[in-house]
Amino acid sequence: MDMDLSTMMSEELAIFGVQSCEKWGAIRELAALLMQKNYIKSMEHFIDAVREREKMVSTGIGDGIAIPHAISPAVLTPAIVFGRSLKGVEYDSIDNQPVFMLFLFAIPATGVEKDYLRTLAALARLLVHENVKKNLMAAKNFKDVRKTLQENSVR
Amino acid sequence: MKIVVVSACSTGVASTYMASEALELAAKARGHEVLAETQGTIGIENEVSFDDAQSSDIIILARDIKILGLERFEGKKILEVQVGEAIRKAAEVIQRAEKMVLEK
Repeated sequence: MDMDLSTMMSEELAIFGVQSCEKWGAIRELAALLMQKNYIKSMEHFIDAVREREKMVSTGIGDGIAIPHAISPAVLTPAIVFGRSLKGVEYDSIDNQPVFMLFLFAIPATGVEKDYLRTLAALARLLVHENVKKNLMAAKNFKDVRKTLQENSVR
Repeated sequence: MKIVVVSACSTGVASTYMASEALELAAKARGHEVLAETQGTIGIENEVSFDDAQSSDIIILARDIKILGLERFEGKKILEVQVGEAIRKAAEVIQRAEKMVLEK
């Protein structure tokens, strides 16, 4: 498994059963975990950065997946929060379909953003594979998610 | 067939790589050899050489912005598609490329 994907994701940063069915509510839910566990030092600054990125083009990449992300000085430790919505989140995705899986990327503004963007790119590539999408949707817990990503990242 | 794919999307983070991945998968599924270069926010990766470009059967440009290094593809058949199309309809794009190669 890509070192960065593995170190950026963890059981404590996973929500199975995202409550909000609205884009920003869902993103805030995931960001709240980052705040709680000290990965970011300001919810508002971090969310602002996510909003700025979202203005360019929606991170709802289709097929029920979203990869919101932000590079921000509010990020203390780079991390990825995984969120699974059972009811679907209205996200304004490029295919106009609801989102069932979110990967919120928090990237520090330290000048080495490229490394983390590379990890985001690697995840995006994985998410092109039908079997990866299928297995992630079927994941019941973080172990399942990690297993799927691990099994598929060796190309 | 030997196919060269270059993808470049203005937002550069996910789409560029997804287009590249989708086209690579579709091309390999059809038994083709494929070299895929990405021009995204993290810079140019897996840059295709002039020689590799010239010895290919066709160049596929999946792009929403200008591609750098077009001079490498001088004289080659080029199929241009939108990044979104490459991601969602990769198999069709490869089939179109195949047709183009077979045409005079």
